[in-house]
Amino acid sequence: MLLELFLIFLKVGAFTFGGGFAMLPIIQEEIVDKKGWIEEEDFINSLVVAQSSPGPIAINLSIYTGHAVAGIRGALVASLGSILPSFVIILVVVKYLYQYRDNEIVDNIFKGVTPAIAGLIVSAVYKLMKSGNMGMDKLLMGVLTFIIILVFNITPIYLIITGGLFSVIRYKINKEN
Amino acid sequence: MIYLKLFLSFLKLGMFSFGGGYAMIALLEQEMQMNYPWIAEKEIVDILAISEMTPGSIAINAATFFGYRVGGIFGAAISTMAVVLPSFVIMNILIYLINKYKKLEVVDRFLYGVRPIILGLIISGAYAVGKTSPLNIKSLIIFGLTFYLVSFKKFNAIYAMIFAGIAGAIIY
Repeated sequence: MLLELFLIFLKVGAFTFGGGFAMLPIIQEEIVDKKGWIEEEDFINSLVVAQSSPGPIAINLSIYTGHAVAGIRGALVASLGSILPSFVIILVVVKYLYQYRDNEIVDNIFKGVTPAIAGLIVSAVYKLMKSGNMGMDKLLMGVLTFIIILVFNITPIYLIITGGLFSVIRYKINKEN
Repeated sequence: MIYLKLFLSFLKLGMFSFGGGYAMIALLEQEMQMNYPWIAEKEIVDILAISEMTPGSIAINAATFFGYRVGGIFGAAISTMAVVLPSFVIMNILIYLINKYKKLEVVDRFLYGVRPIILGLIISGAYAVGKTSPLNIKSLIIFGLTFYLVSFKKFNAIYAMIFAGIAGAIIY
């Protein structure tokens, strides 16, 4: 299972263009949908924890998922797997390909890939909503969160704390009535 | 000595970069200018460009890149390990705490309240990536088609990226 985990995260690491969230659809597909190693609920928790800890989100996600599947050893294997492709690729780029960074074909390929990645990430939102039984009200709150981040440029951790506390307070008030 | 310096630089970077990616650029710039003034400012801009073209997080890419420039392959390995180490320790502590206390009603409620916020964060992740692509009908079609196929037709995410790359090379 550790080898399988390593190979999956090698794949995740090799195809994560554009930051941590781009790896969500692939982790979701491989670990949640195909293998069923972790449940969708726990997958959502992984995002909370990954955002609340310092360090690259991509690595935090790998550590959480690996840990959920096979403990500390799983965390180690998954993070190694997701680091290795960028490590090797950067070394190759620095040594041999640095001069091609303004190449037109490379540029055109990325013009095609970036909107696809945006589409993939949005489909991760859709899948999370469906499996987590989240309705339109939750989506609306999500969109509101997005607008707040866009306009005010707030660090996500404050929004996470606000959302969580709001829910706890509402629960306490409901219980007292 | 140079390896210890690299290790400490990137340990610091890993420890204080909340919110990932672009948040750490300013910190990286400061660290590089202070400790390695011979590395040109332009290289920091270059590493951003390279990060966009290669997979992996900016933090890992930057650690590998500058580690190599300062101390060769061994420097690259040291820096990459150092930038990940704080995540590894803190994440394991957080996972331990969350597993221990998630049965508590308060913690459960807290996590429940965070879920829509997470949706918002993912949407802003999609926006950050989408923003870098040209705003035209071709991009919109690729975006819409990918969303449709992956959400409703169980289309493989990696194939979607490969096809989109080929499409980009052809249509532009």
